[in-house]
Amino acid sequence: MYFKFFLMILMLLINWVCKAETKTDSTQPLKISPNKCVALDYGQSCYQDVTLSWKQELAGDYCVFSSQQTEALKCWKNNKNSIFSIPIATKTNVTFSLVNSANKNILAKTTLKMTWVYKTKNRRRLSWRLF
Amino acid sequence: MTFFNSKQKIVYCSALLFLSQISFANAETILKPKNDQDDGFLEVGLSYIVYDTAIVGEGDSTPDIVINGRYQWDNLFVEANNKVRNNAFTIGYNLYSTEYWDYDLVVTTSNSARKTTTGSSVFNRVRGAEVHQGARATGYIEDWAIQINLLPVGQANKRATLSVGRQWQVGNWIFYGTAEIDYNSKESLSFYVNDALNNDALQRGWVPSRGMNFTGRIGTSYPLAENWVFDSFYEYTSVPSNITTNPLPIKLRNNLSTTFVSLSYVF
Repeated sequence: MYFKFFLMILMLLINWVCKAETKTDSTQPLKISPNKCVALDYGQSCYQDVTLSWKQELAGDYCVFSSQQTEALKCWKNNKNSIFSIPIATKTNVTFSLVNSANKNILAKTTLKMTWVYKTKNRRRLSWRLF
Repeated sequence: MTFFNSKQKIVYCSALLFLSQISFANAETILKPKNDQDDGFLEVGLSYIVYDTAIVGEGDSTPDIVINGRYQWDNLFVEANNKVRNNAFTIGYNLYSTEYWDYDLVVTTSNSARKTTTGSSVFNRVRGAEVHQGARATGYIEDWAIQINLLPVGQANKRATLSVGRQWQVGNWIFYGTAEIDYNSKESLSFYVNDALNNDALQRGWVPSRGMNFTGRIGTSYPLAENWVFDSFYEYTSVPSNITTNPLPIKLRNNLSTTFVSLSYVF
């Protein structure tokens, strides 16, 4: 009986926690979801599939860049909105930019924030789990 | 269902009060870190444990609380662990550190087998309230860790442990495994056995000789959100043969297993 009750509470909490983490601002011209990448221990890499969506008032040639690489992640011709997903592996914040291909102007930016649950840099963090 | 006995309550309430004072207050103004070693965390949550008790055919399950934390200031540190350990609270002083090793003096209630906060488990019932004093060395090499505890002073006399652990990251999941050998003196085992069996063994004049038990654990942790962690593990503990082969009218298990799941919030 306790186990069923515990499982029910656990599932509700996990659902609530995950929903709270995926909130995004729908008014931005370049949106990312989720906007945080969470790894367990300080210094560990985080792995996350993120969905980027953008919209502009006028159709045109646009590209989305990431701070992780110099080449564009994806480009569009004569388009005014799109949505796509990419896998990210990172240890730092990753900034995404929507760029006008014609004049290279940055039209919008958004950031995937890197964070850790256990933020302490003390090497003894490993022993918390093991001993 | 009893979460803690009175001694455990005192130790744990003190630990929780102490750690929460540090965590909720402005840590920067109270404790200004002087180096990378000066920091810590506090974690609280709920767990559910399914476990064997010492007597063959008996087992139980119970919800429990998770209190896990560690803080260090200069060389002084405190640790509370009700996740991997059973109500363990440690106060220590770091004597010396090298690139890979920490050498500490400790006063600890830490014990080998983890859970079973209730019941008649040979290894668990009284250890949460038992205080040991001694020294420990802990080595860290990348994702490996090794710990040696020499605890010659304690209510139940001498104890020593050797533990080795490793963790792996697969995506955002952390998987880990540990192995621990725990030496207990004759007086130590007698203390546990007599208490666990309500002095039945003592009344019959039986005293086990010294012995070692082995504990293996495999587990996984996953960051659900910035402050939320899911944990689970399975633990196996072998019971020394000099306990299982005894003149008592009841049959004791050769091994004990524990399954643990938890959800906790990290401050």
